[in-house]
Amino acid sequence: MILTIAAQEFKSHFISPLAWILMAVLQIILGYLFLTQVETFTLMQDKLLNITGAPGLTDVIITPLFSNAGVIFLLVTPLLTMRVICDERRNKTLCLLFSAPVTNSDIILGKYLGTLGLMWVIVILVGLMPFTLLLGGDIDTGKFFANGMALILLVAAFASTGILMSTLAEHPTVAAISTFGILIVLWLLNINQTMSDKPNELIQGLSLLYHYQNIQTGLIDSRDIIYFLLYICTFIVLSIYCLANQRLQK
Amino acid sequence: MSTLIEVDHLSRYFGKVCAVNDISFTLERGQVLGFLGINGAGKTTTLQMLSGNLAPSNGNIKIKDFTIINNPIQAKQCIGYLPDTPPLYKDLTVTEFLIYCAKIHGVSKHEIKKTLENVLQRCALISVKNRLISNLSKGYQQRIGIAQALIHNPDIIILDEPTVGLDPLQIKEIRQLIKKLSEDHGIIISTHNLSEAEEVCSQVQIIHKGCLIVKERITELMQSIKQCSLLITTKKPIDCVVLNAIDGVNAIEKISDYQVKINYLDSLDPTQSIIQCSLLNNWALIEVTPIKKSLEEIFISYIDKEQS
Amino acid sequence: MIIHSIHQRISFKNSLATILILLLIALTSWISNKYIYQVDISNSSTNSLTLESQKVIKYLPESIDITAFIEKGQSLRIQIIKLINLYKIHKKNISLNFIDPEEYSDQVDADNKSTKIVFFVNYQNHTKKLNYLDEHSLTQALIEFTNANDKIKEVTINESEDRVLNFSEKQIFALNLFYLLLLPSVFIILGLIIRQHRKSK
Repeated sequence: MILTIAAQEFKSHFISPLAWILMAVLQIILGYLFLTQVETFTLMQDKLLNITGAPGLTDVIITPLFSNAGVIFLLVTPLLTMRVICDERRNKTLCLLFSAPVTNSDIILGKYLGTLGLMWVIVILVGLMPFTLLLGGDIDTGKFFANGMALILLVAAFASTGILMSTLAEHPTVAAISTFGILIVLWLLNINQTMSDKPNELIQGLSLLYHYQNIQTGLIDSRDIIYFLLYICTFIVLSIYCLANQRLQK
Repeated sequence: MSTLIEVDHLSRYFGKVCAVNDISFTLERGQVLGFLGINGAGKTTTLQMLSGNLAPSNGNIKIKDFTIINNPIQAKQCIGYLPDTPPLYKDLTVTEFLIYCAKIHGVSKHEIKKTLENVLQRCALISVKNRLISNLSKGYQQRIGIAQALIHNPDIIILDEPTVGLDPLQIKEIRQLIKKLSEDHGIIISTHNLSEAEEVCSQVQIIHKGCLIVKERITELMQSIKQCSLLITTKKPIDCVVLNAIDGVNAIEKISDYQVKINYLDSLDPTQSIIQCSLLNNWALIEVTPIKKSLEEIFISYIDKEQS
Repeated sequence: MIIHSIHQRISFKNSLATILILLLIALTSWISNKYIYQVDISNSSTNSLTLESQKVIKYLPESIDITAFIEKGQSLRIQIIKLINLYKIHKKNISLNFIDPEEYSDQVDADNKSTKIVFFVNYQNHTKKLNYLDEHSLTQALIEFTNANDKIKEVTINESEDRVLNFSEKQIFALNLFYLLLLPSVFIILGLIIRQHRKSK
């Protein structure tokens, strides 16, 4: 049942021009950022060769590409998720799912996975770009996979926040703005911590950016992975709770 | 006949406001149960609770063998529900939308094609099956809404004001469809239109301010609301004195020279005598209409009856 | 609160279940901080100590103390913390202290006042002064504390291997064309075709 709803949600993005335009725009932005990094590297690679411990191709091109992609997703996710539940409620089509033999968690998870599907398609687009580097050199595949995994988890976390806000908000715009607000706070939470040598562990532990960058280095830490998984769980559970409560309508 | 729905002392409060107050009734297979009431009487709230869209405050709803609170999934499997606004994904085609509905209602893969054909045919949607829903007229959209409620072949069909906003021809078609469906399903429809209830329902319940005030067979209801009065229209002036002499005529109210309203005794229907009389006197009779009460008047009369 | 209606009862049950799950999530996050598992999947293991460094600290059973004179708020401090953390994975008793040279100027050599940044590595009663601290220099310093006969002569560190990119002008131009023009236009055209096709239904 979850997959049926997810498949429908996923398809609905691709039968409207939205997904295609989004992919085109993101491709141009990220492609441009990628190619500038490539040029930077080709210019300075001779100098880097002589320094011990200098960053390699992967550090100069791929890691920044994925960092930029993270920021772009921060901007795009609210727009993608704002309509998910909110629009259904406004168009009174949520009734269809409510009177069908499906549970609240089926609805939330189905909608979540459907939207996430579109976002993962874009992640694949981003992930395919580094492969062109193989034409002219070697890449650190381990770090590349770490980056890919980091982005997949990050996007999943973003989408879960978006779903919760879409469930709560009366209006899609409100959902988008509040999603953006929450994400940017969690993203920048550790910005004043990076400068001090005794960072507040709690604040650092809550920051999306901190864990994202940790995975990007290629050093996979169980804490970072679990952070993302728990983050997603929390928001999904809250969404299911909110949807169930709306059905009761005090 | 098997009992499909058993509703037991059902109530619903929104905060302190009571929308539905202590309703009990049953629905059998082959029955068309009409919920009659003016706007805001609690019809939609009741139907929402029956379809599992809204949790009740008190009471129990049993759908076949399942209570909707403890076994919502199994109970909903037996229900097809059309809310007051048809829930349509307007950027899909009719076929795409109905296939999706079938899937989320758990119709198995190899049965989908068959049920789809069946439903398209029943709701006369074959000619538009590949059209985009947003490009179709309101009448078609309403029919897609009904098709959506039928797609998983449920035992119970709940339709919330299925004919609102349609033109007379479409209303007729939908009423015929409901009659056809009633042969092997149990149907609940809500309406604020008395004549619609008369045409399609076998049993009528009148709901007013959340309370069930009448629960009767439609024929009995029509009998009881017949107000012993006739409206007579002619082409030539009517002589009231002659009319007054007819047996059973109680009082005559003259509206114009060509139109009178006659009240008569319940035991003696003078319609035949009046027609003969008009022929004899050459009034050129155009119309004899029995006057029915409006829904509001029925409410008032029933509430009065209860109070006295 | 007296719960007398069904929908309030369901609502209460939902709240309870949600709170329980959230508590479970909090518990999991707490446990995950107790039991940590790390694996370096980068090809050249740039996030890990070299085998040589690991070997060297095995020869040093006593505690190692490092004092770093770095101004407050310098990002170098974080880099040093990260470096020492790598050693801590293999050796628990390494301590790191930061001292702001502005406040304790008398403890720093007069010679080093200009550079300000300086490190002291202390093992048992021996102290070694370093002007620069990375895996290379620290391991080099630690080697001198070892008494082992099979001293490691040369210290190397893990280096990234992907350091060459040979792209001709033409190739870069082709990439530009593909990523910035071809691929986006394909997406846009596909989107427009699908839209047109559906609208006409």
